[in-house]
Amino acid sequence: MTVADGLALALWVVVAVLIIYTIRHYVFTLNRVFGRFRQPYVDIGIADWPTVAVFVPAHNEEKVIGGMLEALLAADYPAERFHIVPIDDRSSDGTANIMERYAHEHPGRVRPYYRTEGKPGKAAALRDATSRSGAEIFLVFDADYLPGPNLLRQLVAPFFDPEVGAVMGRVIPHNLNRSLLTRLLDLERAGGYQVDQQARMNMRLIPQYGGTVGGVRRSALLDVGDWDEDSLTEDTDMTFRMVLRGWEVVYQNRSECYEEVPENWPTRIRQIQRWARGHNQCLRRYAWTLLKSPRHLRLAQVIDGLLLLGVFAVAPILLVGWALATALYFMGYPIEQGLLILFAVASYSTLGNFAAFFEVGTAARLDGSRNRIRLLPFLSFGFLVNLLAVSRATLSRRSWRTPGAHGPDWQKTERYRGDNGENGR
Amino acid sequence: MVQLEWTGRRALRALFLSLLGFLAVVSGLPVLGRAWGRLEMWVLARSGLSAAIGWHDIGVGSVLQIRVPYPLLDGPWPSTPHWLIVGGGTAALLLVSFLLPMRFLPARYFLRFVAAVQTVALLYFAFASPPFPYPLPGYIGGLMTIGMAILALVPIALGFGFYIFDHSLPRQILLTVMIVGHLAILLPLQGLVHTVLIHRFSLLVQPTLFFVFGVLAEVLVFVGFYGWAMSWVGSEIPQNVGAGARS
Repeated sequence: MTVADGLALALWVVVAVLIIYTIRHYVFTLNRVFGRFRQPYVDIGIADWPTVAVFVPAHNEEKVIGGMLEALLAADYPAERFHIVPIDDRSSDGTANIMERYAHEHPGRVRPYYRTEGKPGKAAALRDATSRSGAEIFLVFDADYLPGPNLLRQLVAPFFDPEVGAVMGRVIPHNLNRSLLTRLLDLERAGGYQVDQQARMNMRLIPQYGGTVGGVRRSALLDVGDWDEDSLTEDTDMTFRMVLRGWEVVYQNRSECYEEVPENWPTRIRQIQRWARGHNQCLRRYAWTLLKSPRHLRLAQVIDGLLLLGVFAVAPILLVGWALATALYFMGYPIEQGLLILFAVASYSTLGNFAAFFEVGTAARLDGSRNRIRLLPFLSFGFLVNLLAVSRATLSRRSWRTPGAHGPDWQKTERYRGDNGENGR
Repeated sequence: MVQLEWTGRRALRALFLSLLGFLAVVSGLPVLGRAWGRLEMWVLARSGLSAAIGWHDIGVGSVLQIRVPYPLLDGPWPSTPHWLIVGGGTAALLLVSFLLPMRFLPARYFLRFVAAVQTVALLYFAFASPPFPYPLPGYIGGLMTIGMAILALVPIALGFGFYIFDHSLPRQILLTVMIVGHLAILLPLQGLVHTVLIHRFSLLVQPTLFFVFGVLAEVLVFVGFYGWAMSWVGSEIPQNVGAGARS
C-alpha cells in the first residue's frame, strides 16, 4: 500500500462518517414530515397535578430575571402546587435584590436560594437547590427565557407516565429580527427542534434534555445520582445518565418557550464552543457504556446516542478530511476516481450539504416561516464559523480534561434585553 | 401538529417526476454539450484567446454519446510575475480578512479559508517541478463532466427534498427547470472563467478554483433556488402562522 492509498483509505473513512450523518439528516427529516407523531399527554387538562418547583439558576442576570419571574408567576398551574426557586449564585449585580423583591411581593410562591459558597456553575447550583426541595417535579429555566402561561402544564403532563424521567420543550428565539446571525440561529434552532428532536421522539430514540424549558422527575434525578457538578453541559450529561438508567426522555414540540439568541458572532462562538466542550466530555464519558449496549436499549437508540454524542466531533473530522483531500490532490490522485469529488460534495454538510439544508428548510416550512426560508444559502456562512469554532474547541485541552476542583465556572451568554428597553425591571 | 400524509400518490409522483426529470436531462446532454462547445468558441474568439475546443467523449451504454467540450488552452507553470501577483493577492486577502469588522466574521473566515488553500498551493509549487498532475484542458474537461453529472442529479435530489411536499405540479416542474437552466448556463461560464484565470495567472490558482470555487458554487445555486421554492405557498402546510401554531 502506497502513502496515497493510505491517505485515500483514511479519506474514505471520513466520507463514510459524513455520509452516515447525511443519512441521519434525511431519515429524521422524512420521519418528521411523514412519520407517526408522538406527543404524550400534551392536552391533558383536569388531573391531579404533581407538586412542581421551578428553578431559575442565575448569575448576574439583572437585565432579565425580573421578566422571567413575571412570566412564571402568570403560569396557569395550580398555585398551591408550584413554587419558583430563583437561584442566585454569587451575582455581583442587582440579581439578588430583584429576587428578594419578588420573594417579598409573592411570599411562598417565590423562594430564592442564595449561594455564597461551593463550586460555581449551573450544575452545582441546581444540585444544591434541588436537594433542598421536596417537590415531585423539578422544572428548569434559564433566566433569559420567557415561558408562556400554559407551558408549565405542558411540560409537566408527560410525567404522568411513570417511565418518563425528563422532559424537554421547544426553544424559539424572540430576538430574531436583530441581525442576520439571529435569523440564521432561528433557522438552525428550527431544524434542531422541529425536525431533529421531534423525529427522535417519534422514533423512540433519544430526545435530548436541553437544560432549560424542561424538567426532571425528582425520583429519577436521585436514581441517576443527581446533577454532576463537573459536567460542562449538565443537560447532555443528564440525558445520557437518564437513558442509561432506563428512564425515558420526552420532547414536547408544542411546549414553546422564547429565548435570546446571540446577536453577535463572538458571543455565538463562545456559546457553541462551550456546547462542543461539554458534548465531547459526554462523548468521552458515555460512548463506551452505550457501545456495550445495556439490554433495555434498542440498537437504534444506541446508534442514535452515539451519533448524538459524536455530533461535535464531526467538525474536526471534516477538517482532517480537507487536509487529506488536499494532500491527495497535490499527490496527483486521479479526480476521475471520484473520491475527491465525493468528499467535496459530502463535506458541504458543514458548508452546505443538501441534507442539512433539506432539514432546516423543512423545519422552517413546517413552522410556516415563509420568508425566512429564503435565507437558507446564508446558512453556509454560519456553518463555516461553526466548523472552525467547534474544531478549535474540540481540539483544545479543555475539551478532554476533567474540570478542576472548582468545577466548571458560569459560562454565560451575553444578554441584550435591557439594552433595547424591553422587559428590563 | 403540522405534517404531511405519506400516500402512494405522493410517492409515485415524486418517483415519476424524478425519473422523468433525470431522463429528460440526460437525453438533453448531447445537445447541451454541443451548445456549450459553441458558447466556448464564441467567448474564446471574442476574448482574444486563440484556442480550439477539445471534446471529451462519454458513452452512456450504446444509447447516448455525450461530447463534453473544453478549451485547448495550457495553464503555464508559475513564473516570477505569477508568484508576485498570486502571492500578493493571497497576502491582500489575508490582510482584508483582518481589517473587516467583526460583524463580517463569516466573510473573514471565508477569506482566510481561501488564503489558506492558496497558501498550500503556493507551498506546493515552490517545491514541485513540472509536470502538474492536472493539465488545464483535462481539469476543465473534468469540471464540465462533473457539471453534467450534477445536472442529471438535480431531479433526483429534488425527488427526496422537494417533490414530496405540497407544491403544485407546475411549481415542482418550474423549480426543476429553473435550477437545471441556471446551472446549464453557469457551468460553461464557470469553466471559461477558470480557464482564463488559470491561463493568465498560471497553475498556482487551479487548486483554489477546484476546492473553493468548483462544485460549491453549484451546490449554493441549488440551495438558493431550493430555499426560494420552499417559501412558496403549498396546498397543505399553512404558511406565515403565528407563534404557537407552528407545531
